[in-house]
Amino acid sequence: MSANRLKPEDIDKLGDALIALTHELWVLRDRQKVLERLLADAGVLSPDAVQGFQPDDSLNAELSAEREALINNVLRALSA
Amino acid sequence: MTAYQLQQRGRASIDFLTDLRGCSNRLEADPAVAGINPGAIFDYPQPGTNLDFVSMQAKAVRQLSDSQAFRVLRLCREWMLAAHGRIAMDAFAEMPVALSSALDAAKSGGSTLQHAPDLILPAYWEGYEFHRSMGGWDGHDYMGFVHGELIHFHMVGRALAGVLHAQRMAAAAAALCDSPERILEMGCASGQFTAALAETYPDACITALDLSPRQLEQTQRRGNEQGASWSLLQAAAEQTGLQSAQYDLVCSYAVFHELPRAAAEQVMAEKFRLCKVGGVLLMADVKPYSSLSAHEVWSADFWNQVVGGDPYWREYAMTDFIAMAKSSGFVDVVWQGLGQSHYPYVLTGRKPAPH
Repeated sequence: MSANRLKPEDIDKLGDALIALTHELWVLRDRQKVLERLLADAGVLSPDAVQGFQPDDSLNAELSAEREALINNVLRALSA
Repeated sequence: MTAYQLQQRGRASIDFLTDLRGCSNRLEADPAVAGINPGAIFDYPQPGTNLDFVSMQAKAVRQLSDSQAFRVLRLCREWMLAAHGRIAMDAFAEMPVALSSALDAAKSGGSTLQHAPDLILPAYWEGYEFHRSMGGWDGHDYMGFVHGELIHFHMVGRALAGVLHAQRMAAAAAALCDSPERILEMGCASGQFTAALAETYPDACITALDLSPRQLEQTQRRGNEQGASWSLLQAAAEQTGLQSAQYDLVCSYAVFHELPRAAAEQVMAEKFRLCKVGGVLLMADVKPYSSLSAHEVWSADFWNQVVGGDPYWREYAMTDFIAMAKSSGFVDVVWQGLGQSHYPYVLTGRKPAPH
């Protein structure tokens, strides 16, 4: 297997992908912070409940769709 | 403006863009960037001179590319240019469906919009994504709202709270007329300057035109929500089809730097034709290169002309608009920057009585 799957000319796209990932990471962290605050304020959950949670099929499907969109966003930057 | 709230993704994305811009801008002060002197390459260009900018830029960028700070700054700015339009559309897409209905409803009111579906669009404009904004001016059913609100207000305006409107108010007030009865604005886009004109001249009858129907719709919403009765029409500023000599003030804001020189000459001539005798020309726009230091010329040229999606910025910035306005027939022509920042640059003139 080649150790150089990306060529030098891909480096700008890699930079774009890095920023795109940082963007997505921030959106997610923002949402998580909002959720944690809302849940704590409502007395619904403790942080431990989130830590040990196992998703069911429905949530797994939702997570899968969002994960795919995230990956496509990164690939768009890489292949633009 | 129609009430709306950014949803989580849009809000967080615009926060991210704002901070990415702020953080990356600090790289400009890095000694490795600030210390490189493109002034050695860029002379002080005077309007009308013919300099080889392509070669000068290539040489400057070769020097600057040795700077890691410059490379990272460029990476960040080009990512923002490429991404901001999509982020704005995504922010719109996650808003409640009711917003679309509210935006549709806001088109009803005293401000009228005349579409021109058979209008032949200028080649320099059709399909081009100015500012590298995805979809251009019409690439979305609600592009006027997407551009005027989500891009202009939230993305651009976030770091310039109040400044953008203040600049437009200053430009409107710079017209050499106290109380124009009839005003024509050419290239109104989403109505930011139209609103400043209305605020400055509340008794004036305002007509505004643009090539983009989606942007005109946003101007119409803005007018209706202010209780105004603006006459809006889709038309090319080069050839409006309007009756001659019927406006006291013919103006534009940030339009000429989007035009190739031949089109700019046509628009200037059309402004003259549409002015009443004694009527006033007002053109507010970005700074000409003749007003900038060599380093500022390099910076403005690189970030706007070379990578910024403004293909006619350089032509504009190197054009002698005093000569162009005089050649079109205007007199008492003055071109100067406003306020301490000398921005925007405003060209004023007057249409004389015929000999």
